[in-house]
Amino acid sequence: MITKDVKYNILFKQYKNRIYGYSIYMLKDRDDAEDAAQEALIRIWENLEKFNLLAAKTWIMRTTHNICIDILRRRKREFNFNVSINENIEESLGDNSSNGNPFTITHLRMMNTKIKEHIEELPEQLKSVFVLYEMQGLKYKEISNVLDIPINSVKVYLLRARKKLQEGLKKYEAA
Amino acid sequence: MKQHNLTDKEIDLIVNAAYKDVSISERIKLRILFLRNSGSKRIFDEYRKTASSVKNIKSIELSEEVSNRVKARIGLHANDKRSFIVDLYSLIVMKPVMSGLMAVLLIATVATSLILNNNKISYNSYSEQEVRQAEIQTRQALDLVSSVLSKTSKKVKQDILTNTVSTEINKGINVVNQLFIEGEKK
Repeated sequence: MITKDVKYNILFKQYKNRIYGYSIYMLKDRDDAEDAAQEALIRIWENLEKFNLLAAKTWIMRTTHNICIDILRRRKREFNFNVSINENIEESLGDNSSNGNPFTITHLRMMNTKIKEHIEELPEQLKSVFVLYEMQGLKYKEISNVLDIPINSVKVYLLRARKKLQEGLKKYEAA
Repeated sequence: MKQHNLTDKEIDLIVNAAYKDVSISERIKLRILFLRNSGSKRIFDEYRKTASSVKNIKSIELSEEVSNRVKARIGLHANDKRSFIVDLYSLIVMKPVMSGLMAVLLIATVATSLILNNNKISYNSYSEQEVRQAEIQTRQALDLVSSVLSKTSKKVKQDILTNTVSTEINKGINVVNQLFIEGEKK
């Protein structure tokens, strides 16, 4: 029999970075993302009896998404929030295909920074579908459950997000 | 030869294919599209480059400080000594394929060691009836394993190969046929 704290630790270990990663893309701010992650992780503890381990992914990501939306709404009400790209984003830049070549590393870092910036600038709905599918590895059906939208809309938003991201990068390269 | 103009649907196909989000039949369609329109390959390569960069982005890690703060708020120890149990459960519950493989490996090891040591087993301490009972039980267990294996083989042959794989191949062949027919008409 799995005790509550063991069950929680399994979920905590499995999802803490996913929750934080999703929040940082949605909120574009480290402090707010940390607050959102804390809130989501505490809600998991409070609602642990309501779901089983295998069905946890959808519940957790839906909760995280709702918390992010609440923060964004609050932000809009309070003032016109305008944040720049957070320094924390830099930490997560991947250089696993660089083979240690400094030129390649720099190029990849620049490219990845630009991509991250453009992902962050995507419209809210396109961004959430894109991040959940491409970065969090959720399937169409799971995203449909998380965001409460039909599967076809998930496909359409994902395609639009991919095109919009490419457009943005093209403009950047042309400039 | 007249260059084929790309339709919206074909552009969508290129975009999804660059993110490796298409079926086998769509991949065949794309290969044919590359032959008919040289620009399509260039568009594909551009999207492919972005898709690879997106896939290359590492996950963002939540700091230890925040993790500990959360655990303190709900009254859990920050450094749980039972992390081995958590790791084991994580492996079994979250990665069922992995645990399935481990189970198969364990069964194979036990079976091999039993076969290798078969001659060394002594039946002196058991009565004849016990040995017979054990034989019957072993046979039953083997029957059970054999029935599972035959069911799996049936499923692979009938369901996976017939319905899933061959349907996709048929779709691909139909697409090629359709394109040949259209080409002949033109």
